Amino acid sequence: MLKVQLSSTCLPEKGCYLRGNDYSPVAVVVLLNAPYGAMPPEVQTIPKEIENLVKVAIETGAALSGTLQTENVGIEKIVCNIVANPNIRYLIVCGNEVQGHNTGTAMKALIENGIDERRTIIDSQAKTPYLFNIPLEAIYRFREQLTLIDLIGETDPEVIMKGVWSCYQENPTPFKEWKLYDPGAYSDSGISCSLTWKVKHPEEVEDWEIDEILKGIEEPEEPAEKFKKIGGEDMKGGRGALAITKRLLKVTEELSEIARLCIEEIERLEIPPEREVKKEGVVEPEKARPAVKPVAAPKEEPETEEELYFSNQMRGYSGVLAAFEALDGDICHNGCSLPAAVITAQKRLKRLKEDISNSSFSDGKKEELENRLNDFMERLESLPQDTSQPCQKTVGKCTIGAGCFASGALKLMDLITEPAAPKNL
Amino acid sequence: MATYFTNQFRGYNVVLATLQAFSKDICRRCIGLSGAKTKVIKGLRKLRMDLDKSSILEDDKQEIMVHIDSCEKIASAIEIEEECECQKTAGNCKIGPGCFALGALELMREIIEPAPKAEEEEVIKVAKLVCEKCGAEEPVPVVH
Repeated sequence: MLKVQLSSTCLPEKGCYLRGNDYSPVAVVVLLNAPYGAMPPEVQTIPKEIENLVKVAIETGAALSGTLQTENVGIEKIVCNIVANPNIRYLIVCGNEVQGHNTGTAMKALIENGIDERRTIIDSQAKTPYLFNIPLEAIYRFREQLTLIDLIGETDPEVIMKGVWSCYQENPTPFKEWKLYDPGAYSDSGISCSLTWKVKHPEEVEDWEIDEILKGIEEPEEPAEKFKKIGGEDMKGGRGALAITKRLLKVTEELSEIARLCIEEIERLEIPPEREVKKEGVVEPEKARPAVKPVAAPKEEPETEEELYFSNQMRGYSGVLAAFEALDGDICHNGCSLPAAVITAQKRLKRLKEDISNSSFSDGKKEELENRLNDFMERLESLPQDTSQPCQKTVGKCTIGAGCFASGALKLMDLITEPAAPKNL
Repeated sequence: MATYFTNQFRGYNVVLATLQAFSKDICRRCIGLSGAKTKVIKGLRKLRMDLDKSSILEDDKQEIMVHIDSCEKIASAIEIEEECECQKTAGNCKIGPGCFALGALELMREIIEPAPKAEEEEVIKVAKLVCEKCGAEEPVPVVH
């Protein structure tokens, strides 16, 4: 039986998985129907029963076993890691479906139907089943190389164990509706590819954006084709040359990584001891630098409910006033709704000012808050307040329908639901 | 048809002003504002694409395009910290379950009319089919 030996570093993508016997013909995906803690490898919140399924699969003899949550990047990582190992011929997908993502059905649809020209998994029920970050070749191979063992909804470790065990039997072994056995490695060598990250947040991609995105991720000319042109000789149908080229690329990347580590190490040794001590506290100096200039030091944290109430009101009115000022530059300037909203805001701010003076704050604090309120009041004074102007809907200028931007802006204050106004006010 | 685009950029104008104001607050470090900014930028891009495809007069198109350009610049300039997290989770935002940034975005929902481009595209499609039957080439939807 043909089996392929893998190097210890052959898995291109990191993730929440365990690596077992490389010669095993089965990988296990446990659907992670649980909230994320953080991205791998710092995931802390995997429920015990899911973690147990992952472990059980590895202990029973799977080549890889891990969790899957997202229907795009998650699946892409799995594709990369599986096509790298041609010994894997079965993919067991188990665990409860990931609510909201529908990742299990997306994986099933990928293997059964593949992707369309928009790199979208065909007939998937997932919301964003886009595979933008991996080569098409890897997707085709993934589908050719694997047989899906659909155990979506199954959480019994005994069943998973039986499934894994059946996959590596030499003779066809009945397991549910399948007859499983180890058919040996896939006839072609493994494909080494990793995520391009050209689309970092596929979950944010909207349908109408896809065509534009696709323009930016055209498949590069296969290195094998280049070899053909240069040498005029087909190297094992092109695939062999492609694999060699990709491996060379990987080796180059690894060498540059080693070189970088060496430089860092040498530099570290050259740093005087005092500076070295300082550096220990910093995890990743390059990343620690923010791209945007830092905000002014955070405002003093409100300590009491009373302080928090006024602080929240101020935050809300700053947004409302900005909206009013923008509307003042629009047709609302000549309408009646903006003045009405402005007058309402003025009344409320006056009330707020009274509340501040009746509050238990120190004089300094009161003055600070009143100054801010006065600033708001001044800004409101400069906005239109003549409610006798015609409604811009009536005169046919406002055509947005029954809604109103001015009153909508004022409703931003309704977002503040905590804390309730202090009782002493 | 230009009304649809006019209403949209009127809406974005007020949304952007509000988001800018919130970007001076703790929202600057918040994924809520970051997400709202992304949504506005995408919405404006979509508006531009729809405008390109629309059959409104070229002059009107140019005028609306200028407004969209201006909104896009403002949207891109909204300052947000590189590393954001929900400020409620971080314990800084204590207004309750609401979110100012998403609330500002909701102002777009005040626009109820006219119905978005889906209907317009359908009209264009039908008109084009009709035109193809009679051989006429009309720049605007016409029912023969």
